[in-house]
Amino acid sequence: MAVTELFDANCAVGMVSRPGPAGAFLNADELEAHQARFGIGKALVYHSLAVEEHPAAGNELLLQATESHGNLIPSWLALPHHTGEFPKPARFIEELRSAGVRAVRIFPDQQRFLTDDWVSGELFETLAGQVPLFWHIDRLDTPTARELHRVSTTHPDLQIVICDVDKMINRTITPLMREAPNIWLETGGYRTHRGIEYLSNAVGADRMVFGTKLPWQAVGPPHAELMYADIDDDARRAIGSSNLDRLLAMAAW
Amino acid sequence: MFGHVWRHNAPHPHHHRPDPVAADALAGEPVEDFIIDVHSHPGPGTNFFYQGGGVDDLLRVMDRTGVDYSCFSAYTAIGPDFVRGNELVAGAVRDHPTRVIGFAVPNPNYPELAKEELIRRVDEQGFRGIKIHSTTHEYPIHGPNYIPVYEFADDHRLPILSHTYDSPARIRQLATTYPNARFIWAHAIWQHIRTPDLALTVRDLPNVFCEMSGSGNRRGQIEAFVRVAGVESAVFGSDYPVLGQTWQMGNVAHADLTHEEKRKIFSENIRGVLGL
Repeated sequence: MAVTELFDANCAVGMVSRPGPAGAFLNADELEAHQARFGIGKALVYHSLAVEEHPAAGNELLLQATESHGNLIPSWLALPHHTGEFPKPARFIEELRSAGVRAVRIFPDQQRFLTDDWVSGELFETLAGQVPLFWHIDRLDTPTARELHRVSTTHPDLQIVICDVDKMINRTITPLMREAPNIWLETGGYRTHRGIEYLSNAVGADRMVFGTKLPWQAVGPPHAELMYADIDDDARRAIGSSNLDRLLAMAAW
Repeated sequence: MFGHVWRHNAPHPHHHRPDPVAADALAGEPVEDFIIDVHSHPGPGTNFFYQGGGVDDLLRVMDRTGVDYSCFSAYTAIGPDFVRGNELVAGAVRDHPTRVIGFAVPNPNYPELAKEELIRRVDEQGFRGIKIHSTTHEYPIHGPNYIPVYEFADDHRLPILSHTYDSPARIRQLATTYPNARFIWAHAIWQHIRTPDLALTVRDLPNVFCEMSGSGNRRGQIEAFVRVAGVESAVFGSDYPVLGQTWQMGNVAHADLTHEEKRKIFSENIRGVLGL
């Protein structure tokens, strides 16, 4: 098998308020060393303070933390701009370009904003076709699923990666991903019996990206879900790394 | 599978050489140690969908992960129809006696039928354990209809796998009242983070074991539990196919424990209890 390394789509560096017993990764060296145990050679990382304190603070810290760590690819959190605490989308995308950041994340549940177009539509439209959006959810419940469906169909050029899903979602995620070809799934929380195998057949292995949810979650479980999945080596390689490479390549900078 | 190239090429820092269990899991190869999964539920999901779930499907997953035996209690048995579910497991035990261990489910809301079921399944059909589900059957584990179940387990020296989030005090009370029964507390290891008294309690109870299945998978939680409760209190359970057996395989295989500690969790702690 020619799998050479994994690309983690969902991990954070920095101190967190509620780490597990093994703690958090206070710097990039610690994160990289831990990931190397699992053959994770690259990671699309964000800073914990971007979600637990404020995106503006965390995004800045992320660039400092990942400087001279070429295999840690930075991703920034975004907020709607209406309160003045975050730049307008047009300016934000220029900042992304200037910093070389090729992925954006939102945590609407945790950071208490709506994803309706009158709140977030300008951001979505600006990112569409330019930068993939990693949408972190608390649960794939009814309103969240309906909103993902609405946003993905309203903004068909916006590539949306659903992050932090949980178990028991097949009846929702299957038609959602079939309806919206611009929706992807990050597998770190997808703790479903034969789940990766199932979704590979139902919607395609080209729609999933491997993630760990470090530091909050152990790597072993999502890693084993991918490695033990009854899929062919090309599919495993795609989920493990090349799908994310392809997704990030859409940002031209 | 594809493991061999991966196994030899995976970049590991020199200070962390994976033990044989971790190496197998890294490669997606069946783990070679003797492994017993104490918690599985054959049958279709009753309120959500997963692919497969039948007996043959579960055996196929065991082949992939390297699990030798799984303790079956049917999904429908912990839900609407425990007789129908126990019958499904009886068939699995009959067809696969070297892979499947039957755990009979009594629904305490049908006390007479529950007693008959235990006698039939254990005394006549060779089931080696009992599974109770106080949540789906909505009946407290200290309720009177469970007393005959505990007495039966105590008389027969059987393990009882219990889905419960009851207090450590309740666990101690049951374990000391029925010292010949063995209690396996499902989902307890991740509870340890929220309920640290749990590990302190079970540490001193030789007939109590805890397994790690569930939704909480904090980094280091198994190790933290073992440090307090002792590795002898931990057993491997996945709750598959409700969750993934592969998921918990990764959890234990990659835990920062010694190979010997993993062996104990995977089978040695519970092997004698199950007569293996």
